[in-house]
Amino acid sequence: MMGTEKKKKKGYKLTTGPNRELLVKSPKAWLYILPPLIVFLAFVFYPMLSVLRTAFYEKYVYITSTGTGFGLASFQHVLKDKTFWLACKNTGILILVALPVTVILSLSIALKINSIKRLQGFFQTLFFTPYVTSTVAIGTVFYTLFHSQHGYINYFLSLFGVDTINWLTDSNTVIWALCIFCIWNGLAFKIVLFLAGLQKIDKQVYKAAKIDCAKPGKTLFKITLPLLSPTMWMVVIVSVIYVARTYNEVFSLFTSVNANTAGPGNSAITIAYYIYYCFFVRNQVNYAAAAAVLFLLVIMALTILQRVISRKFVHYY
Amino acid sequence: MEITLKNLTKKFDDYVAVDNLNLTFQDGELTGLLGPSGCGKSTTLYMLAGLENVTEGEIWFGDQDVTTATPEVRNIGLVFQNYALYPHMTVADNIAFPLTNIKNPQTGKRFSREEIREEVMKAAKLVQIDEYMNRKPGQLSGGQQQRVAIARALVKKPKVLLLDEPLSNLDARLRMEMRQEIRRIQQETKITTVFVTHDQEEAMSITDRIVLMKRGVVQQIAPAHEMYMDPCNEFVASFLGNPVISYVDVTVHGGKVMLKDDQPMPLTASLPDGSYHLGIRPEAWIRGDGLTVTLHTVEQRGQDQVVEFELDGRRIKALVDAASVLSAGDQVSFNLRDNRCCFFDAETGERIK
Amino acid sequence: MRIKDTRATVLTIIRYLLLCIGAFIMLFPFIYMVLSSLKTAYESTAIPPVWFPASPQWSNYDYAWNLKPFLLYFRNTLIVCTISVTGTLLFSILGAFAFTIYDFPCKNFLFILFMLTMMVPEEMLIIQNYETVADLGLLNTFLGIALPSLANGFYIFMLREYFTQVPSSLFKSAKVDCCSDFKYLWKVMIPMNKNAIFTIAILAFIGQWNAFMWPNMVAGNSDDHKVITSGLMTFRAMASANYHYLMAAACITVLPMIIFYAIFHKKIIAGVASGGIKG
Repeated sequence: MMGTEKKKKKGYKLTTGPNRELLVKSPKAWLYILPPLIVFLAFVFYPMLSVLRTAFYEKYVYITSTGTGFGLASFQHVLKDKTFWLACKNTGILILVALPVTVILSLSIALKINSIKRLQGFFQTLFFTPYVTSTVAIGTVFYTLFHSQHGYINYFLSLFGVDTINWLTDSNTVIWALCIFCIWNGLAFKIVLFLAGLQKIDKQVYKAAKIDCAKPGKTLFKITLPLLSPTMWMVVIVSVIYVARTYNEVFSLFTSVNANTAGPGNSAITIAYYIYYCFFVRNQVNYAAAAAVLFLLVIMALTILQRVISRKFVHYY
Repeated sequence: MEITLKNLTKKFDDYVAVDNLNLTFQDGELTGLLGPSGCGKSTTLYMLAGLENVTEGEIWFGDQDVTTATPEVRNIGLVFQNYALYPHMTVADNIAFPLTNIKNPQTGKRFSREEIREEVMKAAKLVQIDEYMNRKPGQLSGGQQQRVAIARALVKKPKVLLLDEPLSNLDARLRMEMRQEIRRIQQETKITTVFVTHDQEEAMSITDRIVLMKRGVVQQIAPAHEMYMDPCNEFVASFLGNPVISYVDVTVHGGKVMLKDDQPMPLTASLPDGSYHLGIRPEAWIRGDGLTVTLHTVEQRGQDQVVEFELDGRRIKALVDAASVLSAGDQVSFNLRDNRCCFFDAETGERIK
Repeated sequence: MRIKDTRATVLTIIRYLLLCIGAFIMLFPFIYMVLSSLKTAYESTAIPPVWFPASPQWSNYDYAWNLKPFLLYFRNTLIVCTISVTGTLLFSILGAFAFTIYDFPCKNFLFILFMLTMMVPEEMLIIQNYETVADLGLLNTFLGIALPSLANGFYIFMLREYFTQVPSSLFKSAKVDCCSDFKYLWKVMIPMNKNAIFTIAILAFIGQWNAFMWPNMVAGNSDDHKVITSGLMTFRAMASANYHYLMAAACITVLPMIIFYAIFHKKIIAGVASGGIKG
């Protein structure tokens, strides 16, 4: 069959996989998998383990980069830190208030876009624009919009007789400024995903619902939304983790490069910002690590919680 | 419920999909809307359903003009080509769905849970899907999904049942089974049914009457056998029948039928002298002493043989019984049965009797 | 017109109107940004608002451009993005290919490990990554900025989904034709998935271009390696009260991506949507 005899390749075997696909058993696999693996090991696994270790240091000397002790002192310190709890509270507000509002708004917009015949792509492109622009740039714009005296938002509210709100300087209201910005920023991604999910639904189902005498409201809640629920669920999962990591929004709204605090008295701080703050500003590496570990635990808990809920409310088909 | 179409026309911009239909679907009958792709049969069906707007004309359900009525008020059942079941609902919920949207016509109030359950079970038993009530459509086979679709269409006891090529997604054997099922269900419920298909065998086997369409225009309306034996033009004759009808150019002179080169055909016709298209059904040929031909090909089908030979440059197919096995190259003599032959105008294709 | 048609038309018009209003609100920050960048100092901070500048102050852009070396920042960002995208593509393709074609010990375990990285928050890793990068002497270098971004499990996962959809019969016939594995990757897998690879490149590019936290940490102090997002923040520290300059700087920052978006918006949206569906 072949003109030249090839050397028998050592350790190269062909085999069949579970889906009757052809697989190769060969050490050459490592050639392909090692480059990404090394990067992962170096920049994901190693840091994870290292941060884990650092979190358990009791004392950390920044200059020499050495830590001593093994115990829960860092955790204790973090858990006693008022700023940490403020960060938790703010992050909680973002997840429990800003996120649902974003989901409902983006769902409504996606449904509206899906209901028109022409220009669907046009509107989708418009609504998706915030995704491609950097958060810090838009944050700068919102920074000017939220200004107590010169910002347009206060002007707009004053037309309705609302008093001036010190969005960015009053520690009570900073979280709401952050919420508004996060909502605005989060719409683009969700709209696109919801729209994709809606377009996957077989259009004939709507015709069948018409024949079955279903009113539009009924069709929405009994047909459209249940069929969309896997997509909705996936969006929620991804978004919860994304919102929990809010950092860029805080920095761009509040932090002037000199002060480095998230708003007056760090009142707009989030968990991610807290970690950054401990590490980069206060140089308290062990506390940052402890906070990071706690953060990881929270994320894992959220993921498990989501799995449990998904079984109950999501209609898979 | 009788369905009457008056001057029904559908235009998409300049393209006329359905051209001035005037016909009646008889009450309690299973009528087939038959025709090739693009002939307007599905468009007509969707206009009947209210899912497609009417450009001109009227649609009457009984004595009510439903031309502009939305689907919800027409009280129809529609079985889609791909069933359009709600994938996230169980079979039971799928069938029940229409009942959750309408009021009970007897009491004027919403259906109660027990009433719904009862009606759903009745519909499910009618289509014989009652063992799968808790499954979701994704867990059912094609035939089972179709039964669910039919049950859902029938559960609200509509006056009209519409089916859009319901069998085209099934494999051959299932298709045969299901079309008998559809016939059975229609006979039991006596509901006026319109059944769209492009398969002439399907239409012939289960319908009471066929409406054959071509490019938006009705060619003929007749029961299957009548349409087969008595086609009104060449298109109708060619569309029905398998193997397909064969045509030759003939001249009639004094009642005698002859081919171009004056070769006589074993056939007489009481038609005025002139040129015609002669349509010959495959089963028209019987062994005899009229015309001798040389066979080109012979196809064995077990119960019979399909032989092919040439007449006047045209390929002719004939059905011969399998009593004596023939082969290519054999010389065979045939007579013609004149009730299986049709004469058509050589230019217009219209049937001449 | 039939009554049904009129009602339907009115409803449709309302829908379009609502969407237009929604789009306007959504895009308002951009509109404001552009308009304000052309205002005078007074106009930009005036309340009640002066919506449109009396005459466009293009000089604002001059000022912003010269106050901080934006050209340099663009160059830096471009270099970082190039490294990042190239590395990401390389590693994603190699990794996805390995998981598709090869069977090796701990294959499933490693795959799950890669996937878990999608769950681990970046904030946790920066603590150590900063030290690692510092120890490697890569602080304030382009490589230092780009390197951790190469460890992205999402693209490996996404690409593997596409690779496994290439029918195995192609690989089988390639083997019959004595084709080496690498040749199969180069000549079959990659060309057949050009679309997906291109999409990954675009998404990675956007992600890296707009990244802020890490590049700012690693190279935020000196201009020679600063990226555009850091540059904007520095600019802000210097001109925070001058909205007109600030908006001009913001416009400059955002413009390249807007142009990029205008060209590639179909691919970008499709990429995000399909990544979402598969993820």
